[in-house]
Formats: sequence, C-alpha cells, structure tokens
Amino acid sequence: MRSRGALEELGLVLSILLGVLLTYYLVRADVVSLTYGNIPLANLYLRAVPDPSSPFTSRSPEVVTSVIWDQRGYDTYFETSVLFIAIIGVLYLAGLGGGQGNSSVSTVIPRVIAKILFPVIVAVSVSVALHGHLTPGGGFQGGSIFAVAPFLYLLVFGRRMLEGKGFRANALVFARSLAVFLITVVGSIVLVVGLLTGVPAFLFQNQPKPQLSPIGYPAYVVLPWGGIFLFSGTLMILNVLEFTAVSTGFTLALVIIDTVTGGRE
Amino acid sequence: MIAEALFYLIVFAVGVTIGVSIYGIIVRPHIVKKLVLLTILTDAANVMAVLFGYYLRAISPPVYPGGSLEDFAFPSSAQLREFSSISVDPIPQVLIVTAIVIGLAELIFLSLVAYNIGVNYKTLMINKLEVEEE
Repeated sequence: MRSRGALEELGLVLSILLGVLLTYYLVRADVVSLTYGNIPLANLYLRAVPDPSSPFTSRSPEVVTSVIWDQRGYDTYFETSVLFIAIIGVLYLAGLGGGQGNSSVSTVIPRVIAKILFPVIVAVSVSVALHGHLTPGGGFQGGSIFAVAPFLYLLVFGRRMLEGKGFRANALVFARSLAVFLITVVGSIVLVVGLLTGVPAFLFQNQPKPQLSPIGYPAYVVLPWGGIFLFSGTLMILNVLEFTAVSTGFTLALVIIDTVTGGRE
Repeated sequence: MIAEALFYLIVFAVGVTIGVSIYGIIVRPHIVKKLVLLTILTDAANVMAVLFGYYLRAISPPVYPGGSLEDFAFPSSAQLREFSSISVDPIPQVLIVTAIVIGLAELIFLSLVAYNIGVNYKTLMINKLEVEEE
C-alpha cells in the first residue's frame, strides 16, 4: 500500500514534468511565439476569403465559418456524419421508449429562472447561427448553445414537460436526419447542375471560380426596395442546417441519457 | 512585458493541465473520473491550439469588420493586407470547432458505455471488473 502511494506520487511529478517539457519545447521551437506574425497559410485564408476578386473567395467577412463550410467543406461534412453516427450508436445501445421514470418537479425558484432563461438562450443561439457568416459564431456554436435550453428544462421540469414542448425523440431523429441529408443536397447541387449543363464544377462549391468553374451560388440578392441581402452563397444555408443538426442531436442525446438512467428519482 | 509573462504563464498552465490529465486517465481506476479527465484533456488541447494562433500584434478576431446583412463593402487588397497583419490565425479555431463537437459526441457515447458497465457489473472501478477465464 505504501509503495503504491509513492508510485502514484512519482507518476504525478512525472506528468507535471511532461507538461513543463511540452511548454518549454513549444516555446523554444517558436511554435508558440509572440513576435512573429501569421504563417503564410493563415495569410492566404485571411486575404482570399473577403476579397471578391480572388478565385478562392466566399464573399463573407467571417473567415472561420467560410473555411469550415467552403474551403474545408468535405472535412466538416464527414465531421457532421461522425456526430450523426455517434448518436445513432447511442440510440442502438440505449433502445428507445423504455424506462418511464417518474420525473419530479423542482421548487419555484429554478422553475421561474428556467422559464425566463429558455427564450433568452434560444434567441442567442438562433442569432449566433443566423449571423454566422458575418460575426463570430456559426452553426456548431449556435447548436451547442441551443442544447443548453432543453437541458435546463430536463433538469428542472423532467422529461414529460420537454416532450410536451415538442422535443420528442422521433421528431428529433427526423429533424436531424433531414438536416444531414439537406447538407448533402446543398453541397452537391452545383456539381449536378454542372454535370447536366456540361461545365466543370466541384462538390461543396460556393462561389463561381473564374477559369475553373463559371457556376456557383450567388453571394447576395438585391432586394426590390433597394439594398442587398448578403448571405454569402452556401454559408448561411449550411449554418442553419448545421444548427438544426447539432441542436437536435445534442437534445436527442440528453433525452436518451435521461430515459436510460430513469430520470430524476 | 506583462502581456508576454501572462501569455507564457497560460501556456505553462495548459501544459501542466495536459500532463496531469494524462496521468489521471492512465492511473485512476474509476471510469467516470477517466471521462472527466478526458474532457479536461480535450479542452486543454483546444486551448493550446488557439494559443498557437496568437501573437502580440494580433488585436482583431479573424472577422473583417463592418459586415452586416444589408451591406458589406468588399475590401481592397491593401485593406486586406493590413487586416491579415492584425488578425489572429483562423486555422486553429476552425480545427477546434470540429474537435469540440466530435469530443462531445465521443463523450455521449462513452458515458452510455460507462452506464452499461455500471448496470451490468455493479462497479465502475476498472480494477474490480472480473475477467471470466476459459
């Protein structure tokens, strides 16, 4: 017993030493550096994305969302699929519809706070997702914020109330599958149009690329009463779809875990 | 000077957090503790990735200022060069957005596996799980 404790202390010291060495070599090799500017790859993205004359433009001021959905579209699509498959796996492991746990209701203070906070959280998450191509944020971030609101209801009121609000497992699975399917459709529609009309096009293409592919999504529409509505091609559409996919996926996972563990006893 | 000291302090703290969470994942026998430390390790690695993109002159997020739904003045190349010299690196942020969602999916799956282990074996300690020998 005594020797095991000493061994664990040695392991703790060694792991702290590992952290110190990691820091030292990261700083020493200038991986973490305060004096240099951006690397050339970062400058490429930062200069090409908002610039309408560049062939790699997305016509959007938000570089992060644009890189996620336009320049690295494949990566994000399969990442969404990973989340989808993980939740399908949870469904398989858990089984649906079992466990009618009696969900008790909290006292008045959490109930009032939850009722005040629910619309606020939903409004913030929808705003973050809808403005994802203009301000920091996007579909993932908005969806993750949204999942807090059903979680709050689940903790305070129990699952019965959440299902009364429309967050039923079947509806959530349907919305999630539909969103992932529509992401595929939005990503491949330019390619299909290109194949039908005989011009070159790419999967997950956003803007038209001069000399490579002359077709693509429009960046904005001119409104009939003047002014423009900027949605940066696929970026806003995919943000809304990804918001649906992530928020329903996380809500579904919370509902399943609550079902399996029998709710609050 | 203060900014540099604070930056290296943050890098050091994140490094020690990574070390301690690796230690906990390997040594601690309780599955829930392993899951908690795995989450801490993921978050520490994400913070480290964001720190890679920071430098002292960076005062702007990677968002070109002035965009709204109704109007966006597309910038000239001189404005873009100035923007890219004061903006942080967007690529680590792109990577961690996907890493966070994958980490959450993985956490959901592993917590359900841990729940099943707890139900079937009546224990969550790895070293108390019995192995049936042939």
